[in-house]
Amino acid sequence: MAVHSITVKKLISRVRLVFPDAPEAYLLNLVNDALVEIGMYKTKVVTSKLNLESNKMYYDLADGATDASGKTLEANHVLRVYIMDNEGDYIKIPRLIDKEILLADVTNESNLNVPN
Amino acid sequence: MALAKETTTLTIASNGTNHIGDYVLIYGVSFDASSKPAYSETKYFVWWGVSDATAPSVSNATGVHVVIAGGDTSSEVATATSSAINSLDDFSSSVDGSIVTIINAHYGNVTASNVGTANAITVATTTSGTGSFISNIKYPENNSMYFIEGDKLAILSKLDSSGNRNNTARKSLKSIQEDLVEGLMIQYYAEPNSVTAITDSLDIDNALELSVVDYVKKCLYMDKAGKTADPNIMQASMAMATKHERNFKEAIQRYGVRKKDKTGGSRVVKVPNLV
Repeated sequence: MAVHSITVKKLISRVRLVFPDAPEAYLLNLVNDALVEIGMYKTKVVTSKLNLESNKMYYDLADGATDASGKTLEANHVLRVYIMDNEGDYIKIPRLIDKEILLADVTNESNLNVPN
Repeated sequence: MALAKETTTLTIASNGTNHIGDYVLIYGVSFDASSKPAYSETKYFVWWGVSDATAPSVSNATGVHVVIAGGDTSSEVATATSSAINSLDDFSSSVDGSIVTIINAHYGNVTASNVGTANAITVATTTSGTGSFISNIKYPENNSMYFIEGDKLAILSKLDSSGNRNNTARKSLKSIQEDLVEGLMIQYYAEPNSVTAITDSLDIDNALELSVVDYVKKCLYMDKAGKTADPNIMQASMAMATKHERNFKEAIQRYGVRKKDKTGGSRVVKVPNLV
């Protein structure tokens, strides 16, 4: 038996029992607002692959950032990071707690924020 | 610098008669999820001939037959060439007059395209593909690290592009020194997909769907409270808005993780090996 789940249409019909005149476009916006709010919590785990670039230290995770195939990441909270080894396997790498590194290897960086 | 896809142009300078039996070699990047690495170079030979012609013999290469007739103009030959190449997954092709532009579908450094046997066909690489398919880093867990600063993920390494150490005591962690196609994989909590039509489904666990109804009703009751001049309606609407807001927050913030938690049963306690 299929899992019960509701579409936006069913959701709107529930809302319209109380608010019959609510405009559809406005309701869609509110649903999207709710999804953004829900997305801040642990709801959807995604795995993406990015290209590693020589001499590039910082990789973008902002809302518009994309993976190697051009799909938007939509990342909220990074859980794990892996790098491909010499056998083609992805190996988890440790997180550096002390971020005060001496060397900023950013000669070829293109996505650093610069003053306006 | 961002990785690039190999781009090649074929300039066809004569009519069909002169191209029958010709071939050129082009190199694509193929994807096979079951292989390691998933990307690899694939050699193709593009050859021109009438429909029942016999393909030239080219070792370790996949043939792409461009069917032409002796009377075809150079533009017609170019159009037929572009169509034949577009039928392959590894390339996308476009044509402008008698010039065919071929772009690899995937990033990666490949052998430059070249002429096998061709009369009046010029092959030129306009953009060289960049990026290796396999890393030179043997033990990433020992030689690479990451940290996150705002919306930037920093990747650090102790190795150069050949996999040798290039750090010093002072400068112990540098940026990665190699171009690697899909060399980085990240796992993260992501935002659910937005909805654009009423036929869409919600991109969340069904245990959380009713909380969206609460959120929408909360907003609508607040709107109602803001628009009315009747203090009784305003008060009742605010009470309902507060009720739905509480429902939403409890569902998502307080019980959201537990409601959709897929962890169950006994867990293994992994004792570290102290020997």
